[in-house]
Amino acid sequence: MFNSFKSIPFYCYLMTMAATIIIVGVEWDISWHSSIGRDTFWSPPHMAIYFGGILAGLTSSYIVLSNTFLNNSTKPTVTFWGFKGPMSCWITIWGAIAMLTSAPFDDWWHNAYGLDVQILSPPHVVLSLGIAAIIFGSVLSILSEKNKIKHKNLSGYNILYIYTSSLLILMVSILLTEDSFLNKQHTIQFYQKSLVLLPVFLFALFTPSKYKWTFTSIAFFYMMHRMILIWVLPFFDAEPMLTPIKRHIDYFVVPPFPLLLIIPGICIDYIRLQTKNINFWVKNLYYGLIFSISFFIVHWYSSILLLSNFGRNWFFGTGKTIPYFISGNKYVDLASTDGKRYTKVGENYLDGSGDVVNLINPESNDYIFWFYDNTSYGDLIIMDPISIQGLLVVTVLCIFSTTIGSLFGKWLSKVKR
Amino acid sequence: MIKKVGFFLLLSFIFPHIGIENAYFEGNIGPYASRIIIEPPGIVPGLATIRVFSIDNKIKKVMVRPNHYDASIKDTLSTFLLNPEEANKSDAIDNLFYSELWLMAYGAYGIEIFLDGDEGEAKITIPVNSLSFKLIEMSFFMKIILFSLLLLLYFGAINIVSIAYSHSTLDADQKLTMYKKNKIIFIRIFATVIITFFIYLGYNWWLSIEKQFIDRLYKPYATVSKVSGNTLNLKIESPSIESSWIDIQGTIREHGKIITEHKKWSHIYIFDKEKSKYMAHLHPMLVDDYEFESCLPPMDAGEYLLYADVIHEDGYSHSISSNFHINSSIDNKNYNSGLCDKDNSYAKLEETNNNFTIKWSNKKDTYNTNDDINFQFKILNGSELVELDTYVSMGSHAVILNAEEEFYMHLHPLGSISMSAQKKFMGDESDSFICDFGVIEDEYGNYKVLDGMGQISFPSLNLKPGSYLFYIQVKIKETQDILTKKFNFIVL
Repeated sequence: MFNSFKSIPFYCYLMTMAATIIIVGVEWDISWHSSIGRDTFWSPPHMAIYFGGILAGLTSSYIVLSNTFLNNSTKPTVTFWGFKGPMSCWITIWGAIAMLTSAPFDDWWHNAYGLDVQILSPPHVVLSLGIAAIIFGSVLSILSEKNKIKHKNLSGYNILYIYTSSLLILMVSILLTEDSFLNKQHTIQFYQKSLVLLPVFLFALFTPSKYKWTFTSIAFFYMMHRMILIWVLPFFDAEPMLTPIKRHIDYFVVPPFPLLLIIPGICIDYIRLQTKNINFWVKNLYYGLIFSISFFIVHWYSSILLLSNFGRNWFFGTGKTIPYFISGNKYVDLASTDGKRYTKVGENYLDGSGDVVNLINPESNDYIFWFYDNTSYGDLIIMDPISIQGLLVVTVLCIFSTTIGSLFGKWLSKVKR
Repeated sequence: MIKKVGFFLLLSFIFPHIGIENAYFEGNIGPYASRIIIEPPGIVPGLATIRVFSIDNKIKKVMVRPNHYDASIKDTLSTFLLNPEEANKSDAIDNLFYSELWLMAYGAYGIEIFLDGDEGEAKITIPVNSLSFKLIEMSFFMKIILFSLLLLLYFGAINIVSIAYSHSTLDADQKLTMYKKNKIIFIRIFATVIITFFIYLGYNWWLSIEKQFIDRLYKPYATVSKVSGNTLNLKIESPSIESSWIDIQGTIREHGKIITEHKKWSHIYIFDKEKSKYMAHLHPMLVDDYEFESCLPPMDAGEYLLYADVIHEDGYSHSISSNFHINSSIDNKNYNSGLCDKDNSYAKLEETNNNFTIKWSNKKDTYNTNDDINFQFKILNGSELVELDTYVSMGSHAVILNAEEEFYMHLHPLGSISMSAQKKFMGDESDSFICDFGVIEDEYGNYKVLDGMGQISFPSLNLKPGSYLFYIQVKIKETQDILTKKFNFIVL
């Protein structure tokens, strides 16, 4: 196995390292904004993200320049606007340019529309595309090298491929963070976004690997990455530095508990073993159906379990995931509520500012399901509960996404340059 | 683009600058004579600029922190306050301390300012509204940079897709087949369509966020004014009290009940259409949640415009404006007696008072944009200073209007802030530093609190270029007459 690792080109390790630094930086940055709030371009998480981007960009540029001008490589490359390099390097360079573009765009965005307190904004999507491209570049660098090798000892390649694939899934799940809080896992929006976006990436990465437990392993690495952050971040002190501060926080807020992809993963890996000789389209119909049903059942019940006392500990992190600017533990002096009105939304009562107030048990807001959200400008949005009709539509879309992902995966399994 | 520019021009026409300028305060804070200017960011969330001038040069250290009403008033058990930050001392201006603070949410903020010096510690809270009232367009330079990068990414992505299809799966010694060669053009077209579609989606998403931002841009609440006999009815549009929170968002009801300022529900200023002949200062009754009624003083038939200041229980203070028409002249002698407010006043600005004069002692006809415009007045009977009384709890009231645009600012000798909003954040502490007549530096450069003996001072202001009208009102102690005078000045 060790020899297998030794045969992997060094630039693949550098790209994997860059992808890891970026993704840790992104998770750290979200925690930073949720715990401290203060925004400056020069914050440590930003530096980590951009260091990762520069490392990936420079590594890929070096490979391209050496292939183009030194002509010392016998490996097959693709030609891009006159320059020669592996496909993975071009995707990485594209990602680095997208990251570079997002910096002035984001700065202008803050000046024009204010400092955003949400993960998803147009400049952040440009940044996310750049990051995703860099991580995908690292996945592809390993995969294309692996596809060229004829011998059978590929365990090193497989491990590195599964690891980098898990980073890409982590990136996608970060984009879904705002809808992935345990408290929102009984809204249709959570399932709509998760079951449309995730299968494209999961099945694209799952298809090229011949390893029997690919899906399960990607899910395991993805979950471990999140779990380690959930276990480690609370050890670091943090203090909110922007008002309004709506809850007491003295630690780095942890990301939401990872999506339990390992269970749909086991199902899909098992189905693949059982459906080797089935037509591609039918197989994807099964995959999409099984993935959406297992994903729904697992998250519907696990969110109930994790919001209960069972999840309120260091291992699962429930209660430590909510940023300082979201109200909770609000005290309401019932004697002075004269003239104030509360609007019932789902199980929650909202006061005159759209903040959650639980008149009976003020500490319970963190542990119940939310059926509302806010725009970045504070306006309230009502979210929809689950319905049979809604789930059917989501399942059809999930099958479609699964098929797109698998088609993409077919191309990935052939990439050699 | 033309459509967009037209939209922005329309917005600037719709949203007048009334009551949204910087917050000014001048007066004693404990033992320290200070002038404080807070410039709100104009975009939420954004950075507010705080400048503290130590007039008597006794302040050694300044600490500041923002405090949103939501955290300070509603969370009655919470102590979720920031630690104050130390303000920087200016190298260029000896007595200036400055700082920047993030205002993250919409609504009322109290900026707490902690002073320290040889005479101990002192504290004040300056209420500031956190509002978005700026629309920033992208500079030409930034457009060029971002558009160039977009083109690079766009064509780069299309090229990556076509190479991925054509060459990426070939072995080292394998050549491109004719089949694939012929198909590349279709792949390119396909990639172009898909990528363009995603850019189009992104652009629409951007526009929808901008719409949310524009919906939250400050605009005075729509107000309807009607005159019936001698009575003015002023109604601010609001959803019903039974409305859900969804319908309340962005309306006046979001800020809760109206509270009094100097024991008055609102201060209404009425001007003739030309803003040159007539001014009235009225104090209405609150007849419904957001509806006022006031007695009207004698007025000629014609078009009038009014501005009114309103304060809410959450500490949010704002101004409204409206126009109304009077068909036949009003001759109401009881406009300040009986059920009408005793502090109602009016003035025909072209008439001169034979006994008393108001002189703007340091007035210039023109100022430059960055000039401090000083407002120091002498009230004289012949050449003798006249003793003044307080008028609606203040030494004087002043209004600044712009001759061409809709611009309105209500000033007192202590500044432009709402004292009721201040009390919401400070509680009973606020009464100790009320400055009735203003502060000036005398000829020896010493700080001096005016005592009502014929002198009034307002905090210095910086104004944008334009032609301005300044209206001042004082009350003569001996006769209890309300004296009103208009001055014109230009900022270049």
